Amino acid sequence: MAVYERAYRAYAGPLTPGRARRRVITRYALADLFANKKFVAWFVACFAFPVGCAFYIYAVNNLDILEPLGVSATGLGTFSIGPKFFLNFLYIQGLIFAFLTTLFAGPGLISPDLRNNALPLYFSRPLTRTEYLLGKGSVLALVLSAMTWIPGLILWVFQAVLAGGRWWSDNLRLAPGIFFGSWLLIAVLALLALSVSALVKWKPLAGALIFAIFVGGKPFSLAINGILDTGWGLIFDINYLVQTAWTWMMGARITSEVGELPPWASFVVLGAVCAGCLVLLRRRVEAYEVVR
Amino acid sequence: MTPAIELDQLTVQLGGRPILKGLTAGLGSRTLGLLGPNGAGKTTLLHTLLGFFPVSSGTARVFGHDIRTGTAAIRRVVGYMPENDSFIAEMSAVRFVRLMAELSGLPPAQALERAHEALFWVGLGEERYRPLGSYSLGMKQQAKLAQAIVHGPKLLILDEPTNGLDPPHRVRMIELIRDIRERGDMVLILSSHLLRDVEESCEEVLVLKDGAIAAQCDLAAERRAQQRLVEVEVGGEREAFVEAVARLGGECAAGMRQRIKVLLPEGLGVAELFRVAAERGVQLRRVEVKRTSLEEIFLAAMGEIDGRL
Repeated sequence: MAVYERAYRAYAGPLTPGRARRRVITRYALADLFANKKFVAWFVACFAFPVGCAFYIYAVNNLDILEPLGVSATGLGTFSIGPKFFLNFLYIQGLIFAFLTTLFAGPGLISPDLRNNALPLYFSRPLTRTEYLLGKGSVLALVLSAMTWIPGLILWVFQAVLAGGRWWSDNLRLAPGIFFGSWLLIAVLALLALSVSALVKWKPLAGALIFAIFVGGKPFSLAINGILDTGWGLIFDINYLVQTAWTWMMGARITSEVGELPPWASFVVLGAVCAGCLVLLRRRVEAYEVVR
Repeated sequence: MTPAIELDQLTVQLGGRPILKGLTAGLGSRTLGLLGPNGAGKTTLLHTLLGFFPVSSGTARVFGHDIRTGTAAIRRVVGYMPENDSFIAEMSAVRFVRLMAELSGLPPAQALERAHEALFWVGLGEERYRPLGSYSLGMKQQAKLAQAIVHGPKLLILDEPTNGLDPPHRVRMIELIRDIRERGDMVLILSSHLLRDVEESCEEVLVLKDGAIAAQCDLAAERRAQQRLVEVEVGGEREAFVEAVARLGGECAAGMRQRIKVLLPEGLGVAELFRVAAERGVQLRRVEVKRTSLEEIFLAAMGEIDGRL
């Protein structure tokens, strides 16, 4: 019988397991995100740098192939592939591409549900707040993973294979550094984006707020340092905190600024930021708000 | 039979203010009307049953599941249509209803099929690919009903389903609710402040006032009883008429002037009264089959807390 001729009937078919509900949230949010052609174009563009890095690694490990092309191999050869290379990779992929992707994708995750008062419909079903948040957060986790630790580890393996010898054992620390460093950034970005999305119902404003928190932290921290004649103002600069943590995790150092705060302080502040976001999300993501 | 919903001294406080005050009732009908003025606690009761608000003391059970410990089990068998606009404006109706079906546990293919079915059934078949934000108020209410029934719940909670609807949409909504009731495969709770909606759709009524139960009434039994209560005005010998009716098993109560209220026994119709009156030479000047409207029940309940009708 055609669908339009059927009357209402009870459902007696199979049901999915409880853990599948979180994936439903993620699947629909990802579909919404990738339905946007601008986002797809941006997402593809985010892989240009890792591909470039792969070519660079190949070139550095095969200097002889560049000579027929007239490229000076001497300059390339002096730059070894090591902690600095992978730290730079994380800076560019994480603090630029992943951050801008979060600005694009983050504000639209929870705010439409809040704006349209859809949460009572979600939570009248067998879905907990934790599952809802995990489902939404997984969207950012998947997208940001695809542009940070996954290409990072592929590049590390690529370099280890091409370099051979003792390179992989000498640089073993880099692999967990890339993995956990990326997840640190993903956790901070995802929780901040979800919190702002839950706090501000208007997407452009939510995006602006995320941008302000990340980029505005630096001038604010410098102002605090200047006024109070201290270095601890840097705890307000999330970018700096992430860089400090990465530097410690990768055993490398790039800018002179990094190192003014002990790594443990960065981890403590970033942990506090994440905890604060979780508290905020717990308060905001409710079927109904009780006005006291 | 165990009632579908049991309230056991259910007390809910929100913001330090008691909203529900020790509600105790067993609600066993297939269609329950929840009545009360604005602020009586109807929506709070529904939200508490769904686990949205914490219970301060007492408890309630839905199909035997305690709302303190069995929220997940309750939500598996409930369909909920909220009072306010509640959807994702940018989504098409069919995608939205499918999402809700999948969240209720239906596999994607079945969820899609059921979403189409539900939308056709509520009357949105031709409009199902339009974004929900472009719908009229009546269509939004229909879409909310579709998402509430798409997974085939055992308990359907409708919070003010006819709110803001024009007469044709209201009639359509009441028809849908009656259709659900007549299928008999789900229990229905209809919360409304519109007495007519409840009267037309429900078998049992729970009247709330200031967070307490003001009345609980079996409308079906009430209707049956009402069909046997007749008020007559006689001309001539009233006592002779009363005596004759009493001999047939009827109970009479003499009122002002020549009026008599008669409670007819089972199997005795109004025609018998005419026959008795003719035999005794008594005039029947007026015969009125008394019907207590839900409005009277409601107004009586509003005057007395904890009253039983």
